[in-house]
Amino acid sequence: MSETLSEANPVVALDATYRADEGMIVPSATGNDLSPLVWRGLILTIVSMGFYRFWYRTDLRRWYWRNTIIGDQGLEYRGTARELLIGFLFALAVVLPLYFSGSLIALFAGEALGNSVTALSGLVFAVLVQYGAYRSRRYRLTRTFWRGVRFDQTGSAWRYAALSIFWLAASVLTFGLLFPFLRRALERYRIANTWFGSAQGSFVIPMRPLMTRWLLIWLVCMLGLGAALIAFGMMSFDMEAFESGQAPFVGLGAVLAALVVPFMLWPLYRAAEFRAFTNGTAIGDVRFVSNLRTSSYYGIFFRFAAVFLILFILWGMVLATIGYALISAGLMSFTVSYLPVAFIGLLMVGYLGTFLLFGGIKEIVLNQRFWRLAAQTLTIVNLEAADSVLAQSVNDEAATGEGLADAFDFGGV
Amino acid sequence: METTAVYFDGLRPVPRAATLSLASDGLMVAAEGASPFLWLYESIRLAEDNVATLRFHREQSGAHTGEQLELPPGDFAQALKARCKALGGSHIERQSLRRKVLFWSSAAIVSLFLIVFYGVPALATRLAPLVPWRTEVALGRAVEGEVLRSLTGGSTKLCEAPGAGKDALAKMVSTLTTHATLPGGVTVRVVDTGMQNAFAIPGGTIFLLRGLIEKADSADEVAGVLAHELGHVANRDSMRGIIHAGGISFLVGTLLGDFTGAGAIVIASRFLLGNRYSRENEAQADVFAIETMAKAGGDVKALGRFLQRVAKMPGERQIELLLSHPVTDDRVAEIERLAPRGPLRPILSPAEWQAMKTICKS
Repeated sequence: MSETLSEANPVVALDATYRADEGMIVPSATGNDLSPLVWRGLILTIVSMGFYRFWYRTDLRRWYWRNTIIGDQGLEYRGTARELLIGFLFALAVVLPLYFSGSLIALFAGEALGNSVTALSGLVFAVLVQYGAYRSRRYRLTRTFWRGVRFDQTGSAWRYAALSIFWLAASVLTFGLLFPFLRRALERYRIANTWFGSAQGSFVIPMRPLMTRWLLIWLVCMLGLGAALIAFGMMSFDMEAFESGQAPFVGLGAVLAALVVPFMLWPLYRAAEFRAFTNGTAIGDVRFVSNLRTSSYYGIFFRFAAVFLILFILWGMVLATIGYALISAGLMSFTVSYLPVAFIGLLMVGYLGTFLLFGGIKEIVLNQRFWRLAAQTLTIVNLEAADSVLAQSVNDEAATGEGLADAFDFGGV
Repeated sequence: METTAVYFDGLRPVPRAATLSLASDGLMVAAEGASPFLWLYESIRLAEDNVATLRFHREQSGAHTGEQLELPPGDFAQALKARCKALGGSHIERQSLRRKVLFWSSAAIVSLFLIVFYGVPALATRLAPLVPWRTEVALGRAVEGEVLRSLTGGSTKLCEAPGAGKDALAKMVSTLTTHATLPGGVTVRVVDTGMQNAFAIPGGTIFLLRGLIEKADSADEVAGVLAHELGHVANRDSMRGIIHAGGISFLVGTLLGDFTGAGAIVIASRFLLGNRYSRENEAQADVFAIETMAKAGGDVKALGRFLQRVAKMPGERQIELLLSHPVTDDRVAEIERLAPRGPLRPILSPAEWQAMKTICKS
């Protein structure tokens, strides 16, 4: 969720350059509905065992880019699914050997050495994930055009990965206190290396307002966590109370709170961060102002949760009915040793259906809404300055496109 | 026929009004601030069709010039499209490619199923004997601790104190192993847990759980179970299982990537397949157990009796044994059928059997 806006959807978060007052959604000849594209794409992705996803993702991006209107012109996405597919194959060539050597070494090295090998490969993967994320963003930007002029991203993906590991370590060591600094460092690196033609991005934000909000959230989470730990300790020391049914409610409640509270408070920070980051961003002399309201941001989350929950329950009822019918018809009987084929079939259908449901709802009710909200609350200042931009030649030989990002499955849109 | 459009020169992001007209060999573009110029029909590309604003690009010797024209769909756009023969340029996805992907990925599913159902099991059977025994021993050592922990939840106690019980077990093992052909040395270890089960891990280590010994009525029943596990060791079933599972995880997890959830299909089929696969393995281990017990002079029918009794036992305890050793009437009947008839030599004396039953109490 954390990357939904800034990475998964670069148009909105990073290169969002449309005027709210002119509206950003254009009616098109085929209607402006995202849903058919999403459902068709997801179904074909399942049918093709995943290979169609490159086409689906490309279609999705074309839709978002096309409907992001800046001034009078929409963005244009010129990436192709073929590039994504090739990038994926390239990444496999890197990831597969790593994956295998890592697990082989861990298996044969013995327990102590094996654990350190596992830890090391975890670090290697963390670096690769960040590396992949940066390359992936570069791929998307170099395929993005506005008014015939192309975006670009410079900078080194390795340096970006090093930066993220450094700040990640700092955040972990301070129990998350420095997390906003991690976010700022990465966003600054990304924006400062973003180009629209000859116009370079710049990123300056004051940390104090953001940190004030973060500190409050952080304190609440720490208190929740502390309470959970104490309750947990009480539970394990006081097994009698636990078994008599008095302690668990307090204890489980605290544990639950420690898990749920950060999750519920995250949008509170994220909305503030989005505003701060957007207001701190400039491309050349074009600046951006976001008036995203925290409450609207929450609204999208709740709406998503409600829609998914309702459909998920309905789907569960459908499955239960089918299962009941199969059992009554004698097509599904349970013996000790083997699970019946019909049951496994039903599980499969249930799993794929849930996957489809979640994927579709997430795109339509969550991602699309975020994109709309972010765009509609955005004002562009000094767009005329873009007129003086000059197109630059861009090296788009990056055939490995989003390779690594894709192999780790966070390519997103 | 004329229309107005927005023209971009690809050098600056500045929109310019343009008047378009259709000439015989190309599109005439009269943009403000420039003298009219011609876009040859064969050089015009369309980025996307069926959208609110059509974007036409110009390509020169296969490369994008950066120039573009934006106009709404309508009669003029239709007429223009009709005149351009190569609208879909190098940067445009062709529909045929999409169809090819769908066709070939469906074909890939079929071949994947064939590989999972026939290829990988065959490969596992051929490859397992080629793996050096010491490699399997090393593997076994790597997993042993984990296996024990998963059995008893941390405080694993092995019943290995010297005494009559240990001697009886050693006698049973050596009686069986002298009558069996095995790839390497075998270690039998008794684990102090009430679960009724026995299993072999890679490298010839067999775990015999206390619950099983207690449940058995005679030494020959335990010996039968042990001979069955020796069968797994002799057939290198652990190694085959590792190659089998590894091969399938490789196919599912990394080659395809479970991006779609479609990997669930393979996992489910592996589940089904696993049932069949293990049934074959169990049957082969039964055959081995019968041969070995017969050579050792023990009661070959003891294993069958024991399995049958456990299967009929009420309660939950039986499930542990059955889950890894599915018992069917077929299997018991097969054991009865294959059993040779001849005089019996008890594997252990009554005193030794009593000692073995209390192996964990010393």
